[in-house]
Amino acid sequence: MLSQASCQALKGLLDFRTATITLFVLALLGNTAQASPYSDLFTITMPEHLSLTISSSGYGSDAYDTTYEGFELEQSVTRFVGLIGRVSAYQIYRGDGFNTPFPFGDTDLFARGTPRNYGRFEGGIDLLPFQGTSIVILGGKDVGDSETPLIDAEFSSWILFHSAHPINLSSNVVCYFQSETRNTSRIDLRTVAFATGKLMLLIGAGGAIWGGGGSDLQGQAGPEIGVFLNTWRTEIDLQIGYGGNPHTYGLISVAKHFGWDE
Amino acid sequence: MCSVQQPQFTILHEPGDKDSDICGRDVLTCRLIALLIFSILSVSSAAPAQDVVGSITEIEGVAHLQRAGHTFNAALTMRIQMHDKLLTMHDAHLAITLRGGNQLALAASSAIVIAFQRNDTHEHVEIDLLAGHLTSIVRSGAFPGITVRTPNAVAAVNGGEFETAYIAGKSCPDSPPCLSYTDVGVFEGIVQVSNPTNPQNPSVQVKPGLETAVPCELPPTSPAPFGMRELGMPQYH
Repeated sequence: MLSQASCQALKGLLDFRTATITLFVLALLGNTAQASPYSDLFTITMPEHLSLTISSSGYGSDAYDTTYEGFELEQSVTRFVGLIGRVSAYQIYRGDGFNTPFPFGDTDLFARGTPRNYGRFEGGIDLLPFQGTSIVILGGKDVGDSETPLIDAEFSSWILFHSAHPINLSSNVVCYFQSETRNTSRIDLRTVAFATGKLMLLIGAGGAIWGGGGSDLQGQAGPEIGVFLNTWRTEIDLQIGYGGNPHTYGLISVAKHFGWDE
Repeated sequence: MCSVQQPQFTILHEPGDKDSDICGRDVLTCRLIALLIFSILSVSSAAPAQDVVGSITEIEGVAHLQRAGHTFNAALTMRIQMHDKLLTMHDAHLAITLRGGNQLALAASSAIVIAFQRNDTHEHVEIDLLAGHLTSIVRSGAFPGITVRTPNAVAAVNGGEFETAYIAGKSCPDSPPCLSYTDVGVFEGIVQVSNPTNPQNPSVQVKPGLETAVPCELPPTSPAPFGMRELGMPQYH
């Protein structure tokens, strides 16, 4: 299963010994006679930067409806590392879909007929190996109707950064550790169609794959469009598509960014 | 009844007196000296029309104007002269309308010096951005040319709107070892950006909706869409 393989790879990345060896090698590279791009790997960034992202999304389909609200704080540490904390609230109104954290097949859970509400607390690091690329690794736990521990990993990279039409490839894997719980992976590919001083228009496609916990692998995909409003530092993304139990779906998200130099 | 007393005057000199001739010459001298002083004061206080480059049309917060070694609090409608230095404090912003209708908007914690270059046919505005953020709105017309200079970049446009920022003491995202850089983002028009610290550096044309960075002595980066650095993955969760 793709999701299970992704989760296994994620666990491997988190191996402490592997991480230590990797950092040691990078530090050695930084100490070579010629200046390395990672020579300031452990240098505290000055000035420090704090960023806040407030986001909200909604998903509607033939068989699954859910909403999300949350905020994320990121504190820069070095040029390559930042610390992240994320607090989220989820509401599942009916059915199950790509981001359901409940064990699959427990139909009693969905016979209740009332929304399922749970919060999620996550914390972790943001690795920034080079400009335009970010690797986020978070660990956390749900509270409320869901109580599963989880690991959440995100990857985002801009290709052709210094061009009129850069391309963004991003992926997200969430592994739930409650038994019989499915895992989920998401992938998006977008490009900047055009930009003005006021806004940027992005077009592309995205989708999700989920499975595990005794369920069959399911997937969904479709085109997506996004707008980034420069003045308001706000992005709005919309994806529509088809797949899995939900069949035809629509997904919209709104996010606003803030930032302060300290 | 009270009697009305006539005011009394003491006549010091009679016409024809020697002393009176002396007084007459002194009076004339005094008048000439007074006229000379008045002329000097008039020249020094009222700047020639050609040295007035614009006026402050909007102000919020605390801003200062430095002229000939003196510092004044900037105020609405205050005239700006050649080589005046304008500084905005924290949380302040300033808008200036220049001769010819061009506009400048100075953000918080910023400093500029304004000058005009003249030849027989037209004038060209030159602005030295010493620190902070400056938005320039250039109207095509009588004075279409505007050049914004920072310590490591020159941005020139004939008609358009663009933003220039000079940041010192912070790592440049496009070249992290560099701790001072210039950002130029274009809203309208086409801006030519170059780094004069190295004449061999190629210049870059930045079109609307794009921005470029000039790190230290390096050439300007290829333009990227405005706001790219803010964006990552879609915020679906």
